[in-house]
Amino acid sequence: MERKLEEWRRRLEEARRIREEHADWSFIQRQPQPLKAALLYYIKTGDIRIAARIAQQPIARFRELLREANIPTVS
Amino acid sequence: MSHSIAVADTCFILDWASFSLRDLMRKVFSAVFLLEDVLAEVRSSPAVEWVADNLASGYFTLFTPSPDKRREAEQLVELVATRPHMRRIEIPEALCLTLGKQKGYIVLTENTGALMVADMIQEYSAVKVWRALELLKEIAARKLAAIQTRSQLLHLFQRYEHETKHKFPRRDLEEAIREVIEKWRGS
Repeated sequence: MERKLEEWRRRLEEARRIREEHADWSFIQRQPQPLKAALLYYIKTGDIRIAARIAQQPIARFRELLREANIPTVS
Repeated sequence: MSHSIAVADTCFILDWASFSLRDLMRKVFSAVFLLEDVLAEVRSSPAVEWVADNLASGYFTLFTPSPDKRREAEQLVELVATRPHMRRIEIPEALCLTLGKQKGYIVLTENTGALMVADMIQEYSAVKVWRALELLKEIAARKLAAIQTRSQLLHLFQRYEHETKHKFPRRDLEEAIREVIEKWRGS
């Protein structure tokens, strides 16, 4: 179990790093709140449902915003 | 022609629908179930037209969960919530997982929490949970697309990444390529 957890921690960290590296930070900085907060939350966590709620957008619309911000989904 | 049946989650549909070779999934699955919860979530995306076409042709089937199924999904959401080391899940992916468990359907999702459930909760360890990576791997291994070389195989995965803005973890991608080539050699 501990080994599995360690592997998941490694995966989650790699996914966060990939999101961070690809993100268009200038685009993100230009977004009004709550979109900016939602994009930053998504980069940290990868949780699209909560991020979409922070953005007050339907999940599908938020997925489009991620594409505009060049933030990949990772899995 | 395959007789496998899948149940697809929102995050999978939103990405897969952006892929130009998306209809290759028809060669892998004979039918795909779509939960009403998932349809509600894809309604406002460009994916909705592809989803509607597949519903119209009868390839996708809309699934309305019974109150019992919904209760079971709620229990799974609660179970995951009590395990602090796990990523949370919500009702749509929990419903996909419970259907996968009960009916043997392959669960299509990119949701990390759903992947963790199959990996870490004994009761769900038999559920097959596939990401786009596994579906592409299946397409390539069975030569359902015109792919015969390692570079064509790599190009298929890269094409998916480019068109959908989805990224595969490097280690998983290398492993997938290695597995497909081994299957080719064995066949």
